[in-house]
Amino acid sequence: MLTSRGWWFLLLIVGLLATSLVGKPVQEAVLPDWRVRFAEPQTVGIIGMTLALWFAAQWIGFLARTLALRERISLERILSDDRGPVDTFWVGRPVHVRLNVSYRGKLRLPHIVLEDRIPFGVELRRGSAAYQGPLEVDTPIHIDYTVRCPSTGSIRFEGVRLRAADLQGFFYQRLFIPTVARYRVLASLVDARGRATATKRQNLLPPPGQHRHRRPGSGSELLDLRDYLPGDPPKTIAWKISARRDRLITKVFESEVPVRCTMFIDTSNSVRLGPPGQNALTGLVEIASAVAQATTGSRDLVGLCLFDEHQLQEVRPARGPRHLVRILNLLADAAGLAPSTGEAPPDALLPLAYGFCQDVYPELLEPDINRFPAYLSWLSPRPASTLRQPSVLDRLYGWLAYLLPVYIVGGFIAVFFTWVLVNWFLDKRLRLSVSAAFTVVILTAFLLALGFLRLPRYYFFPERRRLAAWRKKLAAVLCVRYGLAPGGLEFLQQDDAQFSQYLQRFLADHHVPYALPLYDRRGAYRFASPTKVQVLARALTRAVGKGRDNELFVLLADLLELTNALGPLLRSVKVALARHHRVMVVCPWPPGIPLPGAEAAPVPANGETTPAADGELRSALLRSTTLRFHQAFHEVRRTLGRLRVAVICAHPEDSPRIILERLELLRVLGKVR
Amino acid sequence: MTEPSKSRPWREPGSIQYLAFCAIALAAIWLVLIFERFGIWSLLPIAAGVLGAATRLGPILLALAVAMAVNFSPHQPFSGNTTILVPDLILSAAVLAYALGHYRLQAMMLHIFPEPKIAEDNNKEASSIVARDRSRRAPGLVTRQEITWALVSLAGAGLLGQWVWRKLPGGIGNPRFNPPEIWKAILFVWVVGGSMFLVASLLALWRYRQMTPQEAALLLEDLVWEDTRGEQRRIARWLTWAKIKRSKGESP
Repeated sequence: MLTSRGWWFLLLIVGLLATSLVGKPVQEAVLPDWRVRFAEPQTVGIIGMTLALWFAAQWIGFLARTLALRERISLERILSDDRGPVDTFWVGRPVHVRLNVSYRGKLRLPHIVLEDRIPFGVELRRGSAAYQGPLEVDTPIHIDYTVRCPSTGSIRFEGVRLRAADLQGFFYQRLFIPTVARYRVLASLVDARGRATATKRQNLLPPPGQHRHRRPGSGSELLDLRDYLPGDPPKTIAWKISARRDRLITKVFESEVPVRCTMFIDTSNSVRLGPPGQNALTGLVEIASAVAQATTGSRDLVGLCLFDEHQLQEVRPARGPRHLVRILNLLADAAGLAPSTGEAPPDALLPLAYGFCQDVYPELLEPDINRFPAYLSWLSPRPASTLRQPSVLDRLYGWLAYLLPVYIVGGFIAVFFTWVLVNWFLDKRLRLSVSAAFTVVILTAFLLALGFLRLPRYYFFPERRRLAAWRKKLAAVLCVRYGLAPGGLEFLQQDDAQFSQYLQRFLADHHVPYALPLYDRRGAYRFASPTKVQVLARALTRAVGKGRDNELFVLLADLLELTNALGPLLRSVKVALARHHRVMVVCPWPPGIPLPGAEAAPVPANGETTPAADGELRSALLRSTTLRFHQAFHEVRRTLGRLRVAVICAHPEDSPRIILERLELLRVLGKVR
Repeated sequence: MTEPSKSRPWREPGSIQYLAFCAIALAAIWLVLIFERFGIWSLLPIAAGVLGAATRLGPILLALAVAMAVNFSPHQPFSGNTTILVPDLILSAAVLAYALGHYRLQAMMLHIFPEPKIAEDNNKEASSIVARDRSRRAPGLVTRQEITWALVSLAGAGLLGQWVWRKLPGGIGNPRFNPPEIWKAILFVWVVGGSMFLVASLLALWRYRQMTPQEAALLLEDLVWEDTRGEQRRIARWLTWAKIKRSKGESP
């Protein structure tokens, strides 16, 4: 690929050679009386030829070095921490990345820049993920750097960006060598009290059922004494006490059944919104991880149910490190989910997706294999009838094919009248003949014509035409990637909803964060997703049906502003309570909004000093949002409080503690009853 | 990654070497023109070279100045009976040396890679995700071997240029073009154009053979679309229109 610097140099060579080869004859033919003569065409020609040969040699050399470059480079990425190689990240723990690059070519590349593409949401702590310099034959390159993941989820290494150039910067090649690797980022390990593990644990694990269930059972610890009933096993008779009281007394032992806790995590679109690692879902996942680790540490059973608007995924309560790892993996996968809606305008996502595609799949956007004829956006613009809510400009753009001829005809008429006017002005006013002012007129006409032809490029919907070209190219990539039928390419260009869905899928697959508009044009919230309540209710009923003894069901779900749709859930909760289970609800709470009961502290999110008007607007917005959230929370608490269901706001530090307290409470219930 | 010094990259040893390269080239041009009695015209390339050093168009200005000096001054062509004309050789090698040095300096002072195409479109969101680093070449990466190769290539290109220029046939096969330079030019264009066409065709063929399955599928997808896009578009627009109508509760 020739750079602009290379083009200029080529132009110079062509100019020198043309001057020396045809300069003299052309001058003799066209300007025979010109006083300045071409005297030395040979010297100029030799200079031109020297530059041309050198340039050709550079080009051939660069071509020979970069042909099949991708096949000649092999990459290996090794991740390790203090203990050795790892295949999983932990939140907050630094991981050392080493990229080994080896080159099997026969010619050295004089200058390359190799850059490992750091995944989104990963912080570079130490070192550099890039290398600059020559690429020598059989001399491996090592790139070392340290990264850290601030939040739970998953990360994806796409590959390595390679740029090669000659030493002058005439030629340039850009490649992306894919080395796709996906890693889970698990929540950091904490103990039952929510503290990070810093001390050595007991070597001997307590036996199952360490937390005795204070209900009659077959355990070994004495719970109570009662009168003998016919059918009681004779071995449970307390003989000494029976002798003292002169009637048969039976010993009642505690139950050794451990307490079971099932967490229902909302993974619907409403909690996925927000920057990755800072959205509500991440908060819920952190709470669930802490609870799972704490319950596993005390040998209790913990289960998980992930649900969204359409489906649910269950893990039956169990215990053990393998079960914990399985739960943590599922939670990490859930934390990486991205929101999706077909109502998002594709034009907002298109530049982001196109930019990403050009960075990671540059070969798929090459004009050789993915072409968009430039005239197409002029002659066949998208009509307004294929848009849901077309604006005036959209309608006008649909008529572009007809506007252009009007512009050209109008332009010719304007030029004709201008010509007549100029002629009249020269003739009548300045007393000059047109032939005398020929050069000036021709030059002016040329400039006018140039401007006339250039204007449409800047004023006839340049942004829409550019987006049309990008959309076609991306649609082709999406068709191939997701295996759509041949007609799908054109369909994606016309149907906004489908194209938007596929764009979001493409971005989510590559873990590219993207923003979606929260409200539609009528001001309605797009992500309320009331259907998830039915899915949750179904899951809860199913869990109650499979439950044993009394269990704790923790619903970590965004139910705010859904009080009108809570009917099915309330029925399921009643069933659970009737079977002596406990239910509690944890509502995700957006960061920056004070918790109910806490004092509001309206501070700008970025901490910068803002202009007074901006600050006022910000605090007014914060106040109204806070009020809305508090009202919604009280509404949910009132509705569920009638069933004696505790409702709390999600807080990464307090919520696990409250859930664990509820578990403890569950243990003593048997005694109370 | 070796980063160039941000404050004064021209003070790095690598930059100084190429600055010296350019200065020696200018001096050589001046000496040749002085010895060939160009008089005041010999200062024109020096002025262009010195002034052009501060711009990106230095080599172009210098080459134009040399061409003007040798053409427009009242001077006879360099002459001699030897196969190699030394003034021509020095002049062409010096112009090339200046161009080489200047462009390598630009790679160290400004940038070595061009701006990504998407960044040229000024779309903030799209270009935010692409690596926009045009990264200068670190002057510390300049090696002695590189300078030696540059010197060898200067001499080689100068000699070869003169030889090829002389061997360009002016009379062979000339169908009465007068002066013969016109026939020379036509031949040159045919030879260069033909070679480029051949190379481009071979490269295209090679590229087709090297395609990944994904690229090949995309090519086929694109070809189908090219051939049937009119029909596809009509159907897709009707379908979309009907879908929108249905979603609004209207009958399509």
